Amino acid sequence: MAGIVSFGAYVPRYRLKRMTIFQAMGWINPTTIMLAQGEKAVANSDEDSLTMATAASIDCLDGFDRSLIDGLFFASTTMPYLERQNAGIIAGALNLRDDLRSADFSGALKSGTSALLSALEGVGSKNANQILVGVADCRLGKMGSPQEMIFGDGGAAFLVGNQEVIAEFKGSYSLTCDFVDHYRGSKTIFDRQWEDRWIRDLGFDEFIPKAINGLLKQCNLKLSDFSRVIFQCSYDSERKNLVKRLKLDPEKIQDPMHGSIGETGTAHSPLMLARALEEAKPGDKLLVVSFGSGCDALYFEVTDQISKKKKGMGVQGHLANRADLPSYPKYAVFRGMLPVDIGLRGEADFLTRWSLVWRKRKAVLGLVGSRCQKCGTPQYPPQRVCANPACGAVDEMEDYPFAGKKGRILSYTGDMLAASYDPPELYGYVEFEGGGRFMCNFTDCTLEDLKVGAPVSFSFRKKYYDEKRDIQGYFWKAVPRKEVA
Amino acid sequence: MDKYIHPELNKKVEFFGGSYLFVEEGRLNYQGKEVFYLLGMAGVESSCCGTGGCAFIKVPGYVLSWKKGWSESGQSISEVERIVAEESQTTIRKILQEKYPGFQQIEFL
Amino acid sequence: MATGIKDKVAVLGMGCTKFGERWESAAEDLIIEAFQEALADAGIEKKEIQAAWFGTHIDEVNVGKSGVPLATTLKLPFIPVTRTENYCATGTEAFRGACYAVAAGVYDICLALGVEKLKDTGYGGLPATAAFGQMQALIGPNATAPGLFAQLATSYFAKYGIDPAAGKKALAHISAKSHANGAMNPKAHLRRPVTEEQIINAPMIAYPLGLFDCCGVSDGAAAAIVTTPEIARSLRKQDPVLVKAIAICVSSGEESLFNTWDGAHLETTCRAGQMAFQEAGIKNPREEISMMEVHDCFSITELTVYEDLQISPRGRAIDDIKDGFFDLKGKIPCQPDGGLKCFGHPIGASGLRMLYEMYNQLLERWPEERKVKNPRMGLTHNLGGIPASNVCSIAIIGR
Repeated sequence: MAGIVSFGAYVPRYRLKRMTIFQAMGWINPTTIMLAQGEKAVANSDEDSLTMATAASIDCLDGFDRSLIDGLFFASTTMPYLERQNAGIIAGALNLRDDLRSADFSGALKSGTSALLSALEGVGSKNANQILVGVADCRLGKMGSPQEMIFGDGGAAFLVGNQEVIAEFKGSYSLTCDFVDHYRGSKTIFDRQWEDRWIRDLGFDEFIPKAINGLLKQCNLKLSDFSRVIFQCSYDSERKNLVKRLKLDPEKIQDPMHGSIGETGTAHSPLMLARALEEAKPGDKLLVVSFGSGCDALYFEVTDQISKKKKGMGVQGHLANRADLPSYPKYAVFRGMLPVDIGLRGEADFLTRWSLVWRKRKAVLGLVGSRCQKCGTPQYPPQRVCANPACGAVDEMEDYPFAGKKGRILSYTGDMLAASYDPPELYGYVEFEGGGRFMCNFTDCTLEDLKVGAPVSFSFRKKYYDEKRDIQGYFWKAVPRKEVA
Repeated sequence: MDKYIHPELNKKVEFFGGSYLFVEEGRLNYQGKEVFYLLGMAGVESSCCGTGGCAFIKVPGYVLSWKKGWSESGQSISEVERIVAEESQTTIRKILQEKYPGFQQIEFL
Repeated sequence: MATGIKDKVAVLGMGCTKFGERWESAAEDLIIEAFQEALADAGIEKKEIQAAWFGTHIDEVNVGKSGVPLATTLKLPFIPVTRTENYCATGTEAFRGACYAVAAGVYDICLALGVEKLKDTGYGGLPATAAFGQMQALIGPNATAPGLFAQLATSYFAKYGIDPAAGKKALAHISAKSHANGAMNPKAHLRRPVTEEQIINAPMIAYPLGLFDCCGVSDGAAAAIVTTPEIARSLRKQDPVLVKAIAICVSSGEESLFNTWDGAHLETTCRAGQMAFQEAGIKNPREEISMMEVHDCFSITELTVYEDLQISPRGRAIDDIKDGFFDLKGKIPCQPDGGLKCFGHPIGASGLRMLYEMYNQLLERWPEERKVKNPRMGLTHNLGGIPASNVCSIAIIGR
């Protein structure tokens, strides 16, 4: 029986209070005061949809054998590349097999659930044993826009399979409608939308019930059979309206987390599903509905395998890991909306050599080093000649993945001279548990968080952006973590 | 207890390609003690300091006695107690960041 | 059986330009300036130079590659000219090439000249280049030289349990003493004394290094003409300055890839020191070295080098610093000319500028206030790269 085997989520650490946005931009659009409650999660300057989907996937795959994954689907409407498969980059970061099915799902906010559906159908038809679905969005509204208030950043991931499923897939119903409540052309960055009332009345009000009723009819169920009803709707007032219209038990409605995360687009209904699964009990029936160019409605039934699911960071853990982003201009600079002077040093040209990137793909994307089979010394970057002065063996190495290891800080600094979007630039030497070391950037922390000996884990992040050639480069950074007793 | 020699305000200290100076001395209350801090600015002609200069704050410590002596070159000397507790540093740093946005570098001497 | 370089080569003459922001000078002008002084000091004619070694590091904003620029600038008459480059050991490598050629008996008189024109970069600090290779550019953090060496300080303070304020004070003393020395030196770039308080109060560049913990970027050139001791004596140099040791040590990959390096010292300096002391016949460096010029690109580097050269005990350099051991009037004056702190670091030139200072101190040529008492053995030290992966050069000259 096809279903969800594991799930994960990622909410970025930085939180921007909506009042901070209003204080900076409310002068141009005072109506946004109506939306200025709570806070939203915003990606750090080194994060994007791809890194967030990777982070959610890592959360999902904790304790799972990645060599069993046959496919990877990535869904987002804000992918860094139009052509260079984004899922392929994530596959590299996760160190998945080469003989992998993969696809990028894009074009609509329902792409997340569409990817999930395709994955479920893929394992259901036995064409694949396990497929990983990663979903994330990092959408941008113009400065001072309601979208800017509403949008948040985040990601979720699901490992889909046939064995030991924690939530069995029972059925789906989809609608495809060219209902342009909002859109982005291929050359634009900012979301544009039509009138709110029209979107509510002819969009959410029409399609969500239609999708739900379609599923209920197909599966011969009543709405009251469901333990949780998860549906995407960016308007909180409309959500209340739908609850009344559909005669839903308000207790069963999944919290959209608008006040703590925001509307995460493609990732939203998946993120809500992940949150629901964190609290779900065996026997719970879950109904998930996405919205964007139509709807996907999916029905899952939680099994008793759910109690065996290892507790990851998930939505809850990531929500708790928060830091204030107290400055709106900083947010705007992070998102490239304000032209900032990063100094001449930042203008140094760096040519991405694709032949080198291909040759070193495992080391760079996957943080895969080598371990000497003769003396057992792990080393990064991968070496052919063993670095152990007592060994020196040549070509007796095996691949050794470092990304999942913990580490400790050996040295660090906060560099005010380096070109940085969030000075001071933090970096230093990190020693991996078990051996090996390298120099890397620290992220999601301040200089004061760094101490020699402090523990770190590793996160896949944006490394550089070549503006001239529109190339987004990635690598790993160290994140200080709280010492766990 | 440490002795801190007050630098002359608005007097440039030259280094390669630029200079730094202190513009203001300040004191704030924290948990019943007086935190002594100085606001400084560095102006760099040859852009060696990131984007051409910086605003910084130095915190010599809690005031034990204020300007009670003189150095050889005629500058006041105060007695201070260095602030080493991490929690105090974090809170005081936050207070100073809010009071002086843009003064990114805050160092406890 | 090899016997090292000791007493096989004499320094016949040396020259050094004024270091600084030489806006009006191109690299070619600096080359000529250093060379003319060296030639006059040696008392020979240009045509007597049989081979030359030319040290430059950053050719992206400098003279370009190969030995050709030296020859065409000085109009050297179709002699062999070899370009050397080994990060900050570039200048010493040029010296080493010239010395080995003389010691091997292949040539009688050789020239070593190092130059760097850095002030055409357009911004302060070293220009961002892929100096550490393409792979490092892909995976290495967006680092600067101050940031790379600042890490030595965080590791060192943590390892020896040093209170950061005490550490900062020791580092401030190192810089203050160098600035006091440089203030007396007409060839230095920075000639203003600075107090320890001014240093401690200065803003940070890369934690925990502040403005005065970092040397600046400047232009400069220095040159040496070397020959055999016999030829030197025959040219009226009765008691010539002799080369006692030249050691180069390059990281093996152990520090950056293996598990033993503690991040708080420079392994190459330790080993180069051992090699150099053995070559020069020095058993107790703390007693036998008269003075030194070490690579004080950053004050913390100088501090660890005191220990790496077996002069200060491990973890205890701060005590010697506090005692003034390395001050101009101390037991082993360090940076008597002001060091990289006051001269800046035109990479190809620095190693030779250090030798220029040791050479002139040995010949007791300086005015009284700059002199080192009883100079017998002068040591120069360069370190290029990053603490985890670098090249170290040490030269010892004496009389």
